[in-house]
Amino acid sequence: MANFIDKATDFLRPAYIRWPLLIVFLLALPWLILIIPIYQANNFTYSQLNLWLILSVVAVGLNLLTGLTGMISLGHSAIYAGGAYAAAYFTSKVGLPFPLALVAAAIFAGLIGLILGLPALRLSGPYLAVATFGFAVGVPQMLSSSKELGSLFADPNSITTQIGVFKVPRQTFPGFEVRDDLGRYYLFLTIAAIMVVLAMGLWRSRTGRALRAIRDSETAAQAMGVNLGRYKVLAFVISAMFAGVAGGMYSVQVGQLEANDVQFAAVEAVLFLTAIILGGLGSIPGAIIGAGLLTILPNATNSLKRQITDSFGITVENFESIFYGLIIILCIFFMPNGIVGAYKSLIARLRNRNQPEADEQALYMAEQLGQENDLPIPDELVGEAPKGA
Amino acid sequence: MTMTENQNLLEVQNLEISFGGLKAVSDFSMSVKRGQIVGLIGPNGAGKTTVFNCISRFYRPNGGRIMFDGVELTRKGADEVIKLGVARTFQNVELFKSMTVLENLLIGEHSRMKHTVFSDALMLPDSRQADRKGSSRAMEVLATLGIDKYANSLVLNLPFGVQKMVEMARALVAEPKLILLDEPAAGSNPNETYKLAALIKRIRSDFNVTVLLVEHDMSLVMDICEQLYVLDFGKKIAEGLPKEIQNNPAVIEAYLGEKEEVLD
Amino acid sequence: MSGFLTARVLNFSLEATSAVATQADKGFDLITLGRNVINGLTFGSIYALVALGIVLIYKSSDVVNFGHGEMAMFSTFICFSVFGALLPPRKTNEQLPDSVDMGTFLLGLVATLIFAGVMGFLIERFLLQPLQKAPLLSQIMVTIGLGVMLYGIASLIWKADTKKFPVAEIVDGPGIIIGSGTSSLPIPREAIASLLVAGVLALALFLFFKFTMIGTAIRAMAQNPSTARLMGVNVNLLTGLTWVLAIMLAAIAGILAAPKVFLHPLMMANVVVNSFAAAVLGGITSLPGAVLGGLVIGIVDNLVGFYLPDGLRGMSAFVIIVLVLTIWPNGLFGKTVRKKV
Repeated sequence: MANFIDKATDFLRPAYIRWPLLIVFLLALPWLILIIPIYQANNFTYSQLNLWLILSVVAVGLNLLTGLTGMISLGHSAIYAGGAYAAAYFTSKVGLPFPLALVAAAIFAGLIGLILGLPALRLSGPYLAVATFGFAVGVPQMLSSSKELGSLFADPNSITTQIGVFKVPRQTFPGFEVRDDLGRYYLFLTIAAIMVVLAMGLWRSRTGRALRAIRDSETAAQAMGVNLGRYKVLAFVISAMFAGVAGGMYSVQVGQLEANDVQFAAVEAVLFLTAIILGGLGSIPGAIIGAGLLTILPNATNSLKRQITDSFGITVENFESIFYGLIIILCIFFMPNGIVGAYKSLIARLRNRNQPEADEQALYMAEQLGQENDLPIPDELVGEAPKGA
Repeated sequence: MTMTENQNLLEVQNLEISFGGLKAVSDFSMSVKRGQIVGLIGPNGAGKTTVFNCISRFYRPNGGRIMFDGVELTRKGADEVIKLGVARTFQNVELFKSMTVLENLLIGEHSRMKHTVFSDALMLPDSRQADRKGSSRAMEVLATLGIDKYANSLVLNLPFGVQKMVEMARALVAEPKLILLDEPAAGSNPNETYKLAALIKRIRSDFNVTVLLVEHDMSLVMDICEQLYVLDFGKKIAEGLPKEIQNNPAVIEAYLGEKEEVLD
Repeated sequence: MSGFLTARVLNFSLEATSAVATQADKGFDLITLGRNVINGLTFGSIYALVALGIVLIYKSSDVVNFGHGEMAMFSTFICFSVFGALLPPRKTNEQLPDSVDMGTFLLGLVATLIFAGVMGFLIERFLLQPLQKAPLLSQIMVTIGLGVMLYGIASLIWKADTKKFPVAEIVDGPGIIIGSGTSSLPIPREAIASLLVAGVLALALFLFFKFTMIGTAIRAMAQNPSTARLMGVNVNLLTGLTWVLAIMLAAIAGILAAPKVFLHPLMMANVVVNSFAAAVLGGITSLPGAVLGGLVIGIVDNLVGFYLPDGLRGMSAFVIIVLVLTIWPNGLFGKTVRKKV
């Protein structure tokens, strides 16, 4: 078994094999997904793929904040809404082409992130989560009841303009009109790929290390020259920009924004958190996998829902919430590093069944000797200890 | 660079700090010359680590000045002192536990790297080059301390002794002028303490660094320190060469008093 | 994903709490101001009760309970069901009456308090105590997970629609009216009841912590758990007890809020955000701070909703939280804690 895993992973290890394989897989995904029996070749299936890509972008950004830096945001649903409205505003009111509108949405969301992250300059701990929670509950209310915002977004062509309802124009690109969900899939795939590549750059560089340092020990990070306030706010801003881009993608996906959209409710922020906890905190592939599983979840629970409706005669609402909560709690107790972490430790266990790792061995020996403070200073470095020392 | 032999690298003047009305350190002055190994000793709770925390800017002193290499440290933030050349270790080892030893050292080099978050995100050449350079520099430091075989181990899995060495390496990789060691010998047996003393001397010469250490264990400081300061109840009770300190009645009393407390 | 669901988030509670705003014209006069202040105090006392629980839990276990609102909501639904079972049978889909007699009300209240206490104890014992040594992130996430789970379960059992919730009989009726004619200032019985309940409970809590052995032990534990443990204080049991108290307070707040904001799985979302603002304003570790913060937030929230443009009311709690945290992080009565390195 271990041998087989080694061979398989060795084959996939070189970048020139792994990346082209992944690209082909993603390009062919609209057809590959038809293997799963609940999906047929129709717009619903493709829209599911699109929602997965959108959720992936938010989740990767949130993972930079929560997974890498260790700060919880419950406000990403509201930032996401902000991105959606900003993108919609810039495309239809200002008339910017979609890619530029997306950049504008990202900047707008980044500004929101800046405000949300301000308390981070002064305080650590749960305060940020509290502030973002207030934002998440407040924004949908503001969107749905503010007349000023309503007039900003009012559609002059429609007579029954509701507050907070906003139409997004169809997107055309030179030589490629995005007409249906399959077309949007390739548009979104491009955007998501760019965002993921940017995230990978941040992840493994000085910036990513500084963020992880803050999560592990704020004290030591500070002593090593990491400016806590600056990096915490930076994490918030970057993470918010990802949510903003995702919001812009969503505005194109649905074509019409409504302030009461459940996607903008505070519960959606919990969905984002569930995605990264399920996939693996601090892991980019984890965020994408978690996003995928949570996109499938409502389809999977639909039959259960129907059964409940049939046997008890009640319509079931907010059913997924139960699963979000369950997934969060179960993951924290039994799979704290998510699917990616569980997979990694499984591989490690299979591979090292017979030879424990060198470090583990050292630890084991230290325990056996009863020396927890075994200074590993080699003798040749400092000379022999004098007799009787 | 011209070495001015008599110039003080660190100069603490009339340091005062109190917590909630309780004076932790009062009217404390000390100076550390370039290239010296200086010890700050005293019984438990004497305020040694508090002085350290004032120098590394985790605490804000209520009064006094801390001059380091011509710069007033009390106006700097805790994240700025390392850029000026002050690195430290912690009494209870504050490593980044979920990372490898090498990554820990790369964070030690954080303030030496100058590229921006944009070149990180776009994976520009300067960002990758800085990382490559940083890694090879970190490996050199690890090799000098003889712990390079642990470079890719997770800190989490390492014995406490190795973790202490890693912490020292992380401070050294920042190329500080002054390294603050907080109780490096805590929990070591006499043989290890002897080795540690030799190591600290080697660190000074190999890394061309000045050492200030807080220590409870008298045997280590007597062996390596060129100048000692003794604190008791937040006040300086003695300073001088190790030999002078050894025979100082006030110091003996302070340490004896502690012994009696332990016996009670 | 959930975008395909038909569920819509209702802003009923916002509309309900703005009831005063729709009645009066928006000119500034003392009577209108007085009405708004009284309405603000009514809600403020509810925020104070929720904030007291949040502070209690934070002090005893260092966790901000993000499921607090949902735990209150769930308890209130239990009360609703007990009322439903005690009252004469109704037609399907018929709402509960506006008020219930005192016997029914007290029975429902006691049953709800028992439920809330047991729920609080079990959550602490089986979900948070095992995580004592886990990162703060995990502990907070568990409370968030519990919150959404309770939200989903409540939607499943009682449906996600708006329901009327009765008040106790003595509260149903005309209140005190100060002055007469157009310049009269009515103080509804509900307002008096809310303030009275919050005041009595806050006082009881104060006396409990000041003068009882258990209260003193809890205070010692909040200051220094390890020393308290050495002194023979059963830290685990007392942490459980503070959760019991906190969730009971939340349940009472839910019962007080439900007639005003109507019963719904999201009924506490607004209330709990304002309560977080209250706790932060009070310094997050201070019980008197929570009470005072609750009353202040209640009044400010009402005035913002009345005098400022629509839509800003929802953001008032957030703005207060951010302002307090950035400018005045210790709030009214908080203390600075210095981390030992």
